[in-house]
Amino acid sequence: MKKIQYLAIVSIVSLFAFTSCSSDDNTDTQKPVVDLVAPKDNARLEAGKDIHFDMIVSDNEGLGSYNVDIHNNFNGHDHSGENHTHALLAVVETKPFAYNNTWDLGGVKNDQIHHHEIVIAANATPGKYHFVVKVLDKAGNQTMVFRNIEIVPSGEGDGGDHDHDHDDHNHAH
Amino acid sequence: MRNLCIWMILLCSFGVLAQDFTLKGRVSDYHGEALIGATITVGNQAFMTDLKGRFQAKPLEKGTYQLVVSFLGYETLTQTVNLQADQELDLHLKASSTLLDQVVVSSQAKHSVQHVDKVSNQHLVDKFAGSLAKTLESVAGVNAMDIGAGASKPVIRGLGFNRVAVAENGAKQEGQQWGADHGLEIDAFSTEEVEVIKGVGAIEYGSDAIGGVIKINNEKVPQVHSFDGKALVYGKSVNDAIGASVQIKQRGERFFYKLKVTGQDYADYRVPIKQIDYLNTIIPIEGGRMKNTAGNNVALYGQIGYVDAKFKNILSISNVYDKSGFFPGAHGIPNIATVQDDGNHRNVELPNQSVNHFKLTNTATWEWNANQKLSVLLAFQNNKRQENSLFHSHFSNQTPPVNNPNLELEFVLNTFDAAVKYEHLFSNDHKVTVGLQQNYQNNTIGGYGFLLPKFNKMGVGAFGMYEYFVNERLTWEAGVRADYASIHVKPFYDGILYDYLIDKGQSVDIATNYAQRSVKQDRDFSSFNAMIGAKYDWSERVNIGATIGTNFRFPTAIELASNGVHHGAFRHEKGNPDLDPEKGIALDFRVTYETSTFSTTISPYAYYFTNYIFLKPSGTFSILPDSGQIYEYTQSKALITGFEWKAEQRLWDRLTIEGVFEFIYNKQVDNGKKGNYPLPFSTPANFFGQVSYTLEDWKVFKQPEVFVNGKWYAEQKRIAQGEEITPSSQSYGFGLSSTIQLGKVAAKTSLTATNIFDTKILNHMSFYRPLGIPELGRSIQLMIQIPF
Repeated sequence: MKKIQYLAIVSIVSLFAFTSCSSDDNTDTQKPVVDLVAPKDNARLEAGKDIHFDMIVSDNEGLGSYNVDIHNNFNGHDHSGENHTHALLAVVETKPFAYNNTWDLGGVKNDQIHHHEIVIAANATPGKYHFVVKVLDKAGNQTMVFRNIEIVPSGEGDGGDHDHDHDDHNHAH
Repeated sequence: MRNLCIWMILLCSFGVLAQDFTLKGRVSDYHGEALIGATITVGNQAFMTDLKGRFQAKPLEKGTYQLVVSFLGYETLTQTVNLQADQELDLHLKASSTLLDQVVVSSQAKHSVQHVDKVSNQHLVDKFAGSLAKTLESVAGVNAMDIGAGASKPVIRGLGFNRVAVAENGAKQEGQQWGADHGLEIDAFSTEEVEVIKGVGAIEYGSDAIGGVIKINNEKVPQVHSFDGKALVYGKSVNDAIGASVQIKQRGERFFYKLKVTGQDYADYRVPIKQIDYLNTIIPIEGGRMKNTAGNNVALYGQIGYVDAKFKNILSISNVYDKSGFFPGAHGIPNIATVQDDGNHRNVELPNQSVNHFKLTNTATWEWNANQKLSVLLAFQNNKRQENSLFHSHFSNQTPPVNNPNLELEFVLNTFDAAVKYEHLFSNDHKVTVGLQQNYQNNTIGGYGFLLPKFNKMGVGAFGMYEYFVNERLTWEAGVRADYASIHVKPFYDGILYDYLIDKGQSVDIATNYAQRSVKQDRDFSSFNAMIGAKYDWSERVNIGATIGTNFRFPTAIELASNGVHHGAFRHEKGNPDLDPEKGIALDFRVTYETSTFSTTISPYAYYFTNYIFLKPSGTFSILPDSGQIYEYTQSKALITGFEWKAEQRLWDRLTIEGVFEFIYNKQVDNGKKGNYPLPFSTPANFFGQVSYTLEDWKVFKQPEVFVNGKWYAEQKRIAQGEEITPSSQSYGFGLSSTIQLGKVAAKTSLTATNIFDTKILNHMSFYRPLGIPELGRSIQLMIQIPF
């Protein structure tokens, strides 16, 4: 009897000890912080031109990589007809634009990314697109930022507001 | 005359001598558990069994007697005793299926060495919370993973998905349990009794019972020459749900049937927030309702049975259909336009899911005598799940299919089960159970998306269990099991994806690699498991139980061979063909202290897995559009430990105070990376408390009861990669219930309110949690049950 009593107490106590004593390990569950400066939401970007891409990223432990994914939103519910005129205006055969590329961030804690590597095809079908940026840290935590953008025929875009600092564009890692 | 006198004297003396014969014995149930207070009649004597189930008749003459043993909740035993000498009997009563139907049994079962919580149908109906899994949350250690308001899947001790086996009438429910956005297709109202087995359940149920088993029994046999039925209606304010269920059962002499129909329709549910901030987008919640979360379900259940003294056969057919919408603001990229109020809260638009589960089970049981029982189970299940979403091109060269253009994913899973089980009770002390189970599965796919390939799976398992009832206080149990399974995954080549990638300028190598969505796989698995447990009644008031055993789970096809974008979860999920069967060791311990007015149970446990399978972020982006990083199925050592504590105190026969506390700690012990992360979807520490008071009968109100309760969840900051910290939360509820007696009609009525302060509560285990969508707002539910 005493033995069972002892065993019972020991097993309960040891379980509690098991659960409370194990010090928590240095895990990283903090996501990278992303400030996507450009493109802005609802930006009108011109077919045939490069996209001004500008973001500030940081992470508590170290950044892994980032990915830019551009794809059309033609089937989305939020463009009820008004943009189809653009497609009709296009005389040349157009093609829905899509872009997907990944860059390494090499483990730094902070970085400013600024480049013009993404070029919209000249025959890109005008319309609404999604511009999605995903940033991973070294532990695999992911932050995603997305923008609604519109691809418009040459000359109809937002214009010069992204031409201000063309000088330092090769900042990508 | 003289001779006659001598004869008379001789006879009398013979009679006097014959009175020395004694008849004694012991009454216990089929499991050897003593039945205290069973009534026994022999000749003109009637007496009851003592605390150890024993009885002794007054001395009896030689002769033949009719012995009748009766006990509430058990079938009455009638036996002819031919008394020629002193006789000692060992009598076993069978639990009566009909009487128990109405008895609320929610305490621990006394018979099993395993950790079992029984829940009756009455309890399930009284506590109905929208779905079966959600309703079972009243059992300590059980939680529900919610998918909106009408569907949820069970989680036991933080283990869910394929780590909880759900068995109905002995057949394991096989659906799409691996999917987070998928509920359990079982109608809560149709269930007659539910048992939750925690800890070691692998011996009888095989793979998947790692976290525990939810055992549903719908095979209670109605009483001879009886007809009864029950109608039930209910309504709930939070999602304007209306539901009704009608159940009838009838039995003649040997044949019986049961019919059950349940239907439910609900609108978009209300949440106590105005907007959701998801992916840097403020998504407005128009009118405080989650757009497109409405749904409906219909469940049909039919059963026919034959019963005689030695043979019983029960055939059950059920079909559960469920359709519900997904909140469109968070299915893929957030889209404000799709959450605009369309003026109709009851419609189910795209995206949505529909599931149909058809099941046929047949159980045949032979009981030659009280000591031998053979049962044969045959079951077929067809599970069809469709996920519909307005055709949206992932690849610019993909065109909508001609038929069903909006069908994104479809899985049709067919499962055949066959099982034989034989139980033998040797004298009173030893019981042996042996069984053989066979299982075959076939899965086909459809839809314009791709996640999981076609596959076939075959499995066979054999087990043996031995119970030894040492004495009234101590019972031992041990079991072994061997399993074998082979899985055959079909290859799938995605030509559309290949063309798309080539068009995007990818190399032929990369394009071919990605386009081969699944490769042919033939894997064989085997596993051997063992368990041992004991139950000991320390004293009248203190009971102790402990089990230790191994557990296993064969990798599922999704874990081996999935390869595609899961849009609800927004990630590329990739299987791993090299996974080994998940192996674990589980230790479950419990102590119960019970007096007539107070009871408390504490049950600590620990599980250790040598290779826990989970989705791990790879840190590498997928080249599939709209996908994020690749999450790959990986194995790691893992530890899960914690305890449940439950206490109930009754005061002055009217006031009851009860509380349930649960604590879980888990982590990946070695995942090959720096740091040992917790497991995803971990249940935070939580406490449920309730005070209830029974009032006196007043006019037509019989047994009125009022109650107030509260649920508290601790902050969950032990999160896996990609999860968010979930803050602490409290919610309160109250209710009243009474039987309203109007003439011959006794309607059991309850009015309950949950989340009365309309608090924003995030549930760490909810499918909608990653999107920041809270639990349901304030809700008032009315339920009326009318037996007829």
